[in-house]
Amino acid sequence: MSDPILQVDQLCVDFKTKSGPVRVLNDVSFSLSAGETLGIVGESGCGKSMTSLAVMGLVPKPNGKIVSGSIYYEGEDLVQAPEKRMRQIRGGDISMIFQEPMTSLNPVFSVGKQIGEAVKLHEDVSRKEINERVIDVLTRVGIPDPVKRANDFPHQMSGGMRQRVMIAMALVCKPRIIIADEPTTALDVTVQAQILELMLKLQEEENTAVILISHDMGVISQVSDRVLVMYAGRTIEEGDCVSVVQESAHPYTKGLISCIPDIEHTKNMAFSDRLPVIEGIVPNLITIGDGCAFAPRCTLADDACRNWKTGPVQVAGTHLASCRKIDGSMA
Amino acid sequence: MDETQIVFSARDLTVHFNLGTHDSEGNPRVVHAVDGVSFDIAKGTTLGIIGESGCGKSTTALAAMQLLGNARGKMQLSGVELSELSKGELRSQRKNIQIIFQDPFSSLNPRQRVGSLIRTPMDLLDVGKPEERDSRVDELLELVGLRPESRNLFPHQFSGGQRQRIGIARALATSPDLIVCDEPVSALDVAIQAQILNLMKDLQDELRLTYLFISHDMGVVSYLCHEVAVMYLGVFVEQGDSKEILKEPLHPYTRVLLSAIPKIDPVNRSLFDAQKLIGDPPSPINPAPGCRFAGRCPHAKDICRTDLPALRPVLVNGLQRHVACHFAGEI
Amino acid sequence: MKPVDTIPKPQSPLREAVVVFFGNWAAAFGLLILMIVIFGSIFGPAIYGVSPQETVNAPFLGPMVDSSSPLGTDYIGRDVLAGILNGGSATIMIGAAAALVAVVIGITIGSLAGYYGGLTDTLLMRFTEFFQVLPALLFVMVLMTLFTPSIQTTVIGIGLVMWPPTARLARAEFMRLKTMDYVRAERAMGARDRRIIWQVILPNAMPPLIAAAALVIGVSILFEAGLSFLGLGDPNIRSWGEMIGSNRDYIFDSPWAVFFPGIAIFLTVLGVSLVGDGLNDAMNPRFRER
Repeated sequence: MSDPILQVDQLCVDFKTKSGPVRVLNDVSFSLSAGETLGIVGESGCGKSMTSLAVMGLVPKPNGKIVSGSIYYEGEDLVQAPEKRMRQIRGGDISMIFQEPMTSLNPVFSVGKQIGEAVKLHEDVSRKEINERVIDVLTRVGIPDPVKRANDFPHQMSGGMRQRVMIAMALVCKPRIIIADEPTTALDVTVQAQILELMLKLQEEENTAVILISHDMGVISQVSDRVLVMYAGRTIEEGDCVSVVQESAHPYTKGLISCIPDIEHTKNMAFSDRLPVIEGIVPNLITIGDGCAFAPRCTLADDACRNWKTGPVQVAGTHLASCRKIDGSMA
Repeated sequence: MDETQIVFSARDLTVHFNLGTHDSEGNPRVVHAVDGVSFDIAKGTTLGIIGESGCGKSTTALAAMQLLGNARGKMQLSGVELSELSKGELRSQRKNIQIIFQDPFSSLNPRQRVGSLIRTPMDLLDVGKPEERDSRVDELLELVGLRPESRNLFPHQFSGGQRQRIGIARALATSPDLIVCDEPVSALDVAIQAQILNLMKDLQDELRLTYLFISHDMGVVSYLCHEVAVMYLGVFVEQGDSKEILKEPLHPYTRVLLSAIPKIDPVNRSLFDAQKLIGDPPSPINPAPGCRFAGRCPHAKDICRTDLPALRPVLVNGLQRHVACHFAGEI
Repeated sequence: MKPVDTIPKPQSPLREAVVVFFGNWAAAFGLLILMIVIFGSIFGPAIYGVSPQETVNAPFLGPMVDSSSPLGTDYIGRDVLAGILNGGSATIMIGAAAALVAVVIGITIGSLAGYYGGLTDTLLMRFTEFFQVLPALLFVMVLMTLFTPSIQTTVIGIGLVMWPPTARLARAEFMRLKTMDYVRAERAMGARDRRIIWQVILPNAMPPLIAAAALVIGVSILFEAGLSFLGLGDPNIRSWGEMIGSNRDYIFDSPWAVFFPGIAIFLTVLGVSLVGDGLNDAMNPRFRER
């Protein structure tokens, strides 16, 4: 088992609001090994996107701030790194793919120019070589007729094509880690399958590690080696994909998976059947206390849970969950 | 027993948009958003229309709601032919058909209090006695799981899921025969989605509601819908019992669509064995003659490119299905 | 069915807007200036008691040379402070009335153009552009010479040249808002166009329009000052612009007679602009936030 290339430890990020500071990431910890795909799953507001922004050093200022914790990338703590160093890392070592390709691509520049700019910022190469690299990476992401397409503008391309361009931009400097934040959510399901397949193929070719962020449990299950589940700014379950999805330990993970109308289950359901639901709504991060964030909605929770300052409990091997009621074991 | 009472019936529903420009041969460029679809919805059941973006499903929903000026074809609501009504007659029919929208944020007037929002359809369409309308609002709020005090609040004070409940309450206000649902859960988190789907099912059982349900999510459709129509580029390609279609899809497009859905199964990862789509996504502008799917179908033959296949009945496991394919049942 | 969640506290949108507004120091400062100006204009003349039109002292007295005329006198010996206190109400009222005319015309035309689109939009926009390209000052000057200058003609004249920007803004807002699902929902409930335009879309379009209206007041005040300066305003009204205008030949002899009215205009327009910006911020983000 190789050393992790990314190690996040007890990362806390606060946001200044009118009602005081809100902890949007609370003791977030996980690790990522070289060449591995880590899926981060959770509902909106759970902190998964903020985690990726924190790794990239892009936590929105001035309201957001990393208050404690560390992000070790190949032995260097990115939390302490100066902005100049972060600029080197962004795009060169760690790059990001966003959800909405239309707003992530600059509409007034051709796609070739935008990809080329990524190269120019990180490597000192001639213009001729930049062009070659651009054509090369466009071919690798499966864009037909890349020489002509490099001069197209984002609005001339379909959603799937634009996402391929985003992937090309993320890959062109051969980063060690790619963070993909809901890269296929805005795409049709048939296009999604193609894009995910492309990402995995490229990952294998370059041995890049991928952090895939999604709210779609199906995507996460099909693509991840390991899975991290987040809720209310906290990491509540972590482990290899099969364990987390099929042998979920945390009540939230269990509840989340069982309430999804997956077609393998629905095809055998009767009309009188109902989906099991998680009652209530996601807590307000401003008023949330110190205890287990999920306790108000949890069918297993008792008073001790509400006061329990959560921490990871080992379920089996590297499978961890922040719950004191896993199989009757108490923390 | 009025089990087969048809609440809504559409025949050859067509919606074309003239772009105002002309192609290279001088023909006017027309978007064939919906091209001759027909369906019946029986009382107390749900018909789902599923397809990817641009297939025309939302346009079909708006046409059924009589919100499009250029819809052609026959549409009968509880026996009344809507296309032949005068403006005033149509207006009075509106109380029998209501809609729930996709976006919980833009579907409620931010300047109107919730109670007023729910009351408005009753006031505008003169349903019930004016002095009883306020208590009906309270009744509806309770029915969808909200407290009656909600009536004095504004939409922005509620979460997305709660706003959809308000939208449902508003749609129920005039006790319509048919409720059109345009992707009502697509913008919601998975856990909230399950709550709303269960609510819709409960209401359907309790009040014998009839739904026309538009979605791109096959899991949701198979959970909620008795019958489903698969739509591609303005036409229905397969129509029948939703669970049967899930178990045994006949149309090549349905098969591709279903196989591209990422299932929550980390052990049997089948996503990339998915049936592949070949070629480019075609345009709904002046479509070529023949089957709309011919350009991307792995089984396409010459006849597919020249003759548009009609929906023909096929018997599958004792249930009648309609498939628009020259080779349905053979491939 | 049992209730799902806890109920949020009832909240008046007005109260929330007020809180945001006063949290913005620039807006609060602007409001303070306006309060002083308005208070001075309403109560000032009575408190100070000196006539603005009559000769009350020696001419060309500098500020504080004679304590009975704290801001000095002009070339006829009229008290400058009295002129400012009395001129305020005229200036502000003309500015506000002209802004009202402009905003009413602008909203009416802009909303219809934005909502109906098509030929209606094209025609209304060509009409708007016609007014927009008119050289504003020259147009009003021509109007003033054709019709005798009075408060009414001044108000209408200024209103007629100031409405195009409001119309454009209203049109843009209506074009954006008419695609909202809640407008579609109204149609699905059989709402007629009249209800949708005035009762559904307009309340939602108001925040930027109110802010724009505040700015129009500011510009109208400047416009009125300019007209009076040129001698085209109502000669019976001693507004601040009129004070500057009538003293312009004596600017080197009694600069204070021009300077102080100028400061008054500056402060009032500043106050109006800050309040307008503050209103925009206070009323916008909440209704646009997700």
